[in-house]
Amino acid sequence: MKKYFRAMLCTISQSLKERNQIFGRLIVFTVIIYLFCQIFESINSSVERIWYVTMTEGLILSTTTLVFQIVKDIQTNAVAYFLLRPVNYSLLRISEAIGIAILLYLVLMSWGILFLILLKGIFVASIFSTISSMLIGILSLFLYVQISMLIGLLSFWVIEIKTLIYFHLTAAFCFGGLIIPITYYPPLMQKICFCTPYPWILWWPGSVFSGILVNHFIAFAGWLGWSIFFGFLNVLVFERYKKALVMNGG
Amino acid sequence: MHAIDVRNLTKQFKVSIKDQKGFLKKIKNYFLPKYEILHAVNDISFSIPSGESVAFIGPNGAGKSTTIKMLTGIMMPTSGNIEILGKDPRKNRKHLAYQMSVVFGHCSKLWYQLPVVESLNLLSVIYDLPKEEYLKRKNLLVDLFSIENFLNKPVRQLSLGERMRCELVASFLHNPKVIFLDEPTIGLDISAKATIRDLLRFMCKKLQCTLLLTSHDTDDIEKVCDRVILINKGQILVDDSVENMKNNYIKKRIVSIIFDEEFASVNFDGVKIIESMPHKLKCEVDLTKISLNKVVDNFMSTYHLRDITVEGPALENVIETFYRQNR
Repeated sequence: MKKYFRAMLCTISQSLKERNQIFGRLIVFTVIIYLFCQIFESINSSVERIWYVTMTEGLILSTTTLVFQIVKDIQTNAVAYFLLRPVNYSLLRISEAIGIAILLYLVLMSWGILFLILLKGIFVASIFSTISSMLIGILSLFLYVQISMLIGLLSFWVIEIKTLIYFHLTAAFCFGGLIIPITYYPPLMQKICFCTPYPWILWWPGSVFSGILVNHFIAFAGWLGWSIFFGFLNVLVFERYKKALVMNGG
Repeated sequence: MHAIDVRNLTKQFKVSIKDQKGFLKKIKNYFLPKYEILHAVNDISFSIPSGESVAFIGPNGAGKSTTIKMLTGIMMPTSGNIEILGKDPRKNRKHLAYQMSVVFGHCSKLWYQLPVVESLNLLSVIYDLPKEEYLKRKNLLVDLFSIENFLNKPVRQLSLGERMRCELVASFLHNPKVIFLDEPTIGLDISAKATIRDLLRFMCKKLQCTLLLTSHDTDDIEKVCDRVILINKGQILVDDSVENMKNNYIKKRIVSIIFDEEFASVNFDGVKIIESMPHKLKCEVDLTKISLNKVVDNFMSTYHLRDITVEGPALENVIETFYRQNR
């Protein structure tokens, strides 16, 4: 695991040097928080809603371009060259993506919390739920990276991968509850959402962050179940891809 | 023990026949596709002793890359045996990864965003190199390849020549016993090419490393390799030393002579004049018709010669002749 941890640290230290990327995301994040503050204020919505959106938007803005990296590696057959090194390609790419995502997430959320306090002057949840939501956010990013990895690997068979990426993003926004918590959805819609992995990426950390009561045991079980499922799928798909690579050279 | 030992290696691909003419045939082919067997590599055998540098060449589609992929263990052969350092690369790919290295001219081993030194640090962890050994080796390679000036630059900011030098440092970092190079000088300028060739030659001699190089640049072959394996349509056409290849496969030599007095004419069977001036002659001698000694003796008995030079054929011409004959 030392190799993957080192790869993660390397990408974190490199991302820290790329200030423009961090500043760019901070500006977009600030604008989004400000806009939603204005919108929710104009409809007299509760202050928890803006905290919820801050967390979900922060998570979305922390995600990396892992899927495009995998697609590129597959299209250029770079994966084959990774097989010639004593390292697992999937784990290496996941470590790198997690490293960047965690860094961006921590920077964005630290600023987000500060900006919200400056803007609203209220700290809605307890310190404990803020810290726990931050940790849950890291778990969410891990699940998101797993899904991105799977979509990337599928590009070996699916030529029009952009459609799949678009579907994944739209599904994440709708079924994950990017702007409105899923608990506000109609009952049938809620059931559909909870059948997908997306609530455990956005709704769970967003709800904890904004002080909405969540059954953590069920939420964690949901996250764990989906993580194991996607982890298993990733191994399966990568092995199928490797087999095709070994038999036909890609 | 041979570093690389290949016996009766074959790789076949099943490919669909696409050039069906006529609408109905195309429709039929869509639902019931027909296949044919393509012999990418067809029963080849060769072995390379430890420390030898071999060029593996051939025209596009000859089967070079397929062979390299099979040798490195990332492709399964249809039949035949491969042993790299006495081990089957398919079954021992991870183990062999520590003992071999692959450099692809078109594909980077380094991390695009990271500074070179970070990539090297990461590779040292990936290859489980002890810290002291890594630092010693890194310092030696950085010095040899003169990359200290751009060690802290991200790979994306390097020129192609600089990047290739860094790629080679990364490839030699874990002290590989076998190194595969696929067009390492592609896209480089003349000076960068020369540097890379000199360094490759030096490193292979110094480390006693077995090298298998594929390149379309005959200078790479001449400067770096001792032996040439020429492959076409999946079969080995020539397996010989670079010198033998140049001397034995084209039976023509170019002779240039400068005379003290004015030169009149020459009329031997097998000698063709290329350029003629009052004091200078350039001619092509066909060794199948007349020996070189006989030509020189004839000139020396008739004229006073100031200078005489005999040029062998360029390797490029030899290879071109082979490609043309086996098209």
